[in-house]
Amino acid sequence: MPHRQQLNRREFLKQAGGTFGRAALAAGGICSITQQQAWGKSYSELDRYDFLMPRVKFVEDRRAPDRWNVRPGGDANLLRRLSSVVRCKVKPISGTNNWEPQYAADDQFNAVVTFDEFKVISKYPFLFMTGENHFEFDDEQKNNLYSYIARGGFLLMDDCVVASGGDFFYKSAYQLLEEVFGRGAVKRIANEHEVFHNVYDLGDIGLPYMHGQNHGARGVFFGDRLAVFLASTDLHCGWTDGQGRHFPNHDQAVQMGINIIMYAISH
Amino acid sequence: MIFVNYPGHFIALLLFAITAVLLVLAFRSHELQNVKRWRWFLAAMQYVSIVILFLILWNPSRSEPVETVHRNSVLVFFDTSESMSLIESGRKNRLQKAIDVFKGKFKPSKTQGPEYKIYGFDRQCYFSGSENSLRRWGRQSNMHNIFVLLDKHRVTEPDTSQDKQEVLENQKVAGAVIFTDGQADDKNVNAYLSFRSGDLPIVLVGIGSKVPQSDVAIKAITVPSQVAIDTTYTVRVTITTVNLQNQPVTVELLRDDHVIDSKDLAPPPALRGDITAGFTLGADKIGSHILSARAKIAADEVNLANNTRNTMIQVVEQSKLKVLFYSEVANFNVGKIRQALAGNSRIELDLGLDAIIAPPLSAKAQMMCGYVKLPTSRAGFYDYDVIILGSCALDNLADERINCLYSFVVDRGGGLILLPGREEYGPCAWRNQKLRALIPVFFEPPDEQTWTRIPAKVELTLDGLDSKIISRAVLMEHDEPIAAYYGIIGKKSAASTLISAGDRPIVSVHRVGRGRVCLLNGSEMCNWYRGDFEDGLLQKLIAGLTAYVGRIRNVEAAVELFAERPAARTHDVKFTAYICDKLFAPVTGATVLLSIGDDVLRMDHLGRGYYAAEVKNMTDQAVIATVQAEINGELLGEKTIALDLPPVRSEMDKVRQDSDFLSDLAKRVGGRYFDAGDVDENIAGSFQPQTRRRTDIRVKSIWPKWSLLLVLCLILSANWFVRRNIGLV
Repeated sequence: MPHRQQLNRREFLKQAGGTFGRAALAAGGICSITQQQAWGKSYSELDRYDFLMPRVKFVEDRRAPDRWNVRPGGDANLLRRLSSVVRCKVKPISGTNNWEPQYAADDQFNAVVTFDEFKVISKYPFLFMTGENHFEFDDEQKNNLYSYIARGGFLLMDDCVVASGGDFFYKSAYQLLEEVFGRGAVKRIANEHEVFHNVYDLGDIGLPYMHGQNHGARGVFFGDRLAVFLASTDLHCGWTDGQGRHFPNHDQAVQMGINIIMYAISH
Repeated sequence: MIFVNYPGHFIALLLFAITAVLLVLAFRSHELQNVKRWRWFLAAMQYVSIVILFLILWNPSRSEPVETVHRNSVLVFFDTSESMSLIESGRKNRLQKAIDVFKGKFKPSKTQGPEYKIYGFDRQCYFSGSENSLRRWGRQSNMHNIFVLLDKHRVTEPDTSQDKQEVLENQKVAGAVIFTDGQADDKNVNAYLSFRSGDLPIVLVGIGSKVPQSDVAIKAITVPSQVAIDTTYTVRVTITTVNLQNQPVTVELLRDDHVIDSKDLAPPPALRGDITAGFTLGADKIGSHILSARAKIAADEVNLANNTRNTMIQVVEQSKLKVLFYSEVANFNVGKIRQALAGNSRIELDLGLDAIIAPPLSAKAQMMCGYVKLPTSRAGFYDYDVIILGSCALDNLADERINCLYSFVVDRGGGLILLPGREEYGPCAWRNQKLRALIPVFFEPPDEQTWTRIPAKVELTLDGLDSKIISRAVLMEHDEPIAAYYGIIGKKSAASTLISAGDRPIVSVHRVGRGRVCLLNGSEMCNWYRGDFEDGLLQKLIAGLTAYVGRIRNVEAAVELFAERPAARTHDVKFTAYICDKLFAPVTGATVLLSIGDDVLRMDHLGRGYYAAEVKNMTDQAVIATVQAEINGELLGEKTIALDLPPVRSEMDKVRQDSDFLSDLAKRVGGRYFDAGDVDENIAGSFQPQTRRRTDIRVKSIWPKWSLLLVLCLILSANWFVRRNIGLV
């Protein structure tokens, strides 16, 4: 993770203005939420919003700097950009600014779910899971994962790479998916696949690379449908780097994220 | 002159030949001495021969009175329909038994009684003249014609100048006898002409057994008229049993004359009852197939004609519905509904996901993913069978496009499915009059919505059950409660709620013009989807709804075809077609061809786009017919219908003598009913024999004897002898 740098006046004003503006927007969002709640108290979240991106909570092997709820600013940036490019009303995430905070509060994501209870995850057609370290699922969680995907759910798994550059999360995810869906279930996603072309044309690039081990885009297909997207190149960091200070490809990461969401929405 | 007892041409020629021989011999005779004496004789012979010749040519006649005797007559009607061919006991069929009764009891050969004139009747009444000339065997029993014929002969109210007795004496027809088993096509006694007692004596003689005999009849075969290939279908055979006395029934099912299945069924406990057998078959070969059901019992059965019944089924390629699914907003419902549509082999899907805001990005992405846009012309809309509108702000469309969408439903008969959407992207927010006319419900205004979203168990209404969009069993499999999206005020007057959750309608539908519009008012519909082996509620519902609203395919849009059996002619089928052009205006002067099996008929124009044709004697229960219409070489459309018509009553469905009907009919016509076994010798006395003497004036020849010719020949021969002998020749 990069260290903080000293800011000059221009950058400070820019950031302060941006923060103030975002706070104002968040307040407006809260008002609109309240209004919606008053008007649409009859509606569920899936009816009020076109897209929700819950974060999956899980237990990692050892306490590491980047846990399951790292950097909600990345989710916020992605969702904001999504709603500006696609006619899709997203549930906003408030109280973030790119890299801040490092760990999200419980109510800061669109939703927080675990694979412990199938009834909870089955309400959300799209789940996002990221982490840095090894992890394991117990049998019930594996069963729930299979059932969730079989019923039509989509899971985005992104390896949050830290300084060592290890692909611990990626390997654990790969192993988990092979156990749940069978040996050989995790396949390479070709650059010609629709997920690289449905909004932004990323066919020439393939999976954008931020840092870490580049294993290429991998996934699990359920029938013809791509149901799990596994990335090892830390797309989430690219989303978080709103100004592109650390990752030159940050915009491509956001585009890839939008493509993945659009694919999940449209299938 | 007409010679009485003319001997024939041979005798006449013989006479002329003999005369010629005598003439030859005359030339060989010697001359006579006393010529003067023979001259007077010769002159006399000349004169007589001329007179005879004049007599023959002139033929003088005179009038003289001749007396003749006429008898009155009794009309005898024999039922010659197929049910009279039954042999119940002995070796004689019912018609023969009827003839025996007639001859034995009415003694038609007696000259003292009235003259019996023999008629037969089945579909029509016909004069036969004798028992041997009666036709065998008609397929119908129409007794109305008998009484129409008798009506002409019955006694009318005498006027004051005539005595009724005198009228009776002048009546030519003394009465009528009808031999029948009572199995008439029309058993409504009140439909028959009414006769007063005494108008005309009528005797009805019932033929056949009144006691129900063991019988098994195939009452009906129920199959879908048309099925898709590689699917299964159920055949239901209904069997009527009479007096089986616990004998089991074997039912065989044949397809194209090959036995494919059979079942043994226990008879019903009652003397008469129905039993049903079900068979499940696979549609494995494209084309029309004849399905036959055949029933048999172990013991002797009298009536075997009703043991078999046929029907037809057509196995066709799965025709696909062309569906457009269009949405301007990307949400989870889009993906799952798309999956449900794409996974249906009967649907050819065009997806129009127009959610990307920036036009260049949108255009490129659409090209890469194969998305389509909402059509801009009528032809573009008409190309689809069903349009599913996801979240769309349709009020932003140009009026022309809205008109095209409206015309797609109203004129072309396309199906429209509306999905809910938030704010201005849902039907609730539409303000355009034509768009609102398409919606089957009235909404609560968004700012006044106060209803509480309470998920409830989903239920199929009676209308939903009739619509067959989904079965109750499938609905019950979805055990999670669902909620409605909109708080609807109520449905429009002609709309139906097919599925509800609690008191909220989930699926509402109504007809607009020729098409159907459905509102799918579900919340979180993406969660109704199941991607594993069992199709979820969403897939089944979408499949059912698209088939329900998309009944009119593009090629069939301009053509409608109907079939029915006319009430008066239940053996015939009348086909009516309605033809319109691309703008859905009725067409006159089109060439409309109707294909049924191997036959092709041209339909006659009735006016205002309607065309009709009637097919005679079509007794099959299932009808598969195709109509094609073209005008000026341009194909307007084509439609195939496959439907079940009411089964035609067969002559052999019921064969027991219907004495109740005959008895009631006898009362109606002022006659008397007897069973054949109860007819006695005095029955003939019902008809008063009457003879009438009549004097006729006849013109008669005075000398019609052929011997005149003989005399003439002799005189001419002798003439020549004398001429020769006196030397004249």
